[in-house]
Amino acid sequence: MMEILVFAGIPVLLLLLLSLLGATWNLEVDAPEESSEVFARRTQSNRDSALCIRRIFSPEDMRFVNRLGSPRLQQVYRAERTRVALYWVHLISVDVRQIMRKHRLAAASKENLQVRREMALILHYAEFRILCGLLAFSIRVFGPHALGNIAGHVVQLSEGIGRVLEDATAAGRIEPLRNVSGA
Amino acid sequence: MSDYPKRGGLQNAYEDLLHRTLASIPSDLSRLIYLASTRDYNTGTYHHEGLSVRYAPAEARDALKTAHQEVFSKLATLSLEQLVEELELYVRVSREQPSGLLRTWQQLEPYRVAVPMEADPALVRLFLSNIRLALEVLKHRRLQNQGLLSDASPLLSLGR
Repeated sequence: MMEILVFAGIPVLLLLLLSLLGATWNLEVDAPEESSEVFARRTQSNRDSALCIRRIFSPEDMRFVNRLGSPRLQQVYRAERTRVALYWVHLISVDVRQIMRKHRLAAASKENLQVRREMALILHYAEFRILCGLLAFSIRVFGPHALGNIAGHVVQLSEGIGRVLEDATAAGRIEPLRNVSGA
Repeated sequence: MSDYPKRGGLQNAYEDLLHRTLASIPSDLSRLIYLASTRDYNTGTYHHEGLSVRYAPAEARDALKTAHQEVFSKLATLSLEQLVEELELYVRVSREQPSGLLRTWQQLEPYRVAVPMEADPALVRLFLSNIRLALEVLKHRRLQNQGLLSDASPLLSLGR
């Protein structure tokens, strides 16, 4: 009986502790629209996107708010920036998920799939999903600035997935031509 | 024969807009509001009387659209401190009662319509969130200056 109470109590205590630390479990985050139009808009300006990510996760604004010395402003800041950071994580996950879905559908009808490339893609995608989960968790528990560097890795991974898929698409275009020419 | 272009090209139209119209507007936030106001609410197309007289309609439209996107990107990636300064300047030059303007901006959120249509969604979120924060900071400063500061009154819903 005692063991059960201890095992059940640990997660409850952990959640209580995280809540005391200011974790924002109950913060509602708007889900991004799942459309290719959004992706097109996001990829329009890489410079803006890079600046946007840096701004979201940079502690500069937090330091400014802290200097104002108002606990209420600090609370409002944390809620606002957490919401934006979580939205960004959702957005990039949705983008990459969409690309992967399209690739899966295209790959299903392909005969000349390269196993090594597909395996690398799956590993990249798994790593990407894990990092997104970790980032979202850390944003909720410790705020948007604690593990901001992970955001950079997430972007790099999403770009890596994009590059592998671009190569795969290019190779897919070349392969039928080779077949036609009998090479 | 076409009435335009008297001076050709999007680049000319853009520079004309930048040096004639936008240069006389005192802050980037005011420029953003102004450029958004040249956009039709129903169609999303831009129109500027002076530019469309001097340039082809498409060039004038694209110049306005480009300028709008650029000013927005600049503002959306400013630090919160810089955005507060921008907002402060906007309030000062508006000649409105600061308390009334801040209250209206907090309640009606008119800055939402100042966002360009093709802006990065994450950048839009960041901008809207930072404007809300900047409004809070200005309100906080005003209350502090008046000695009325009370941290007990929540001005912004955290659950929004």
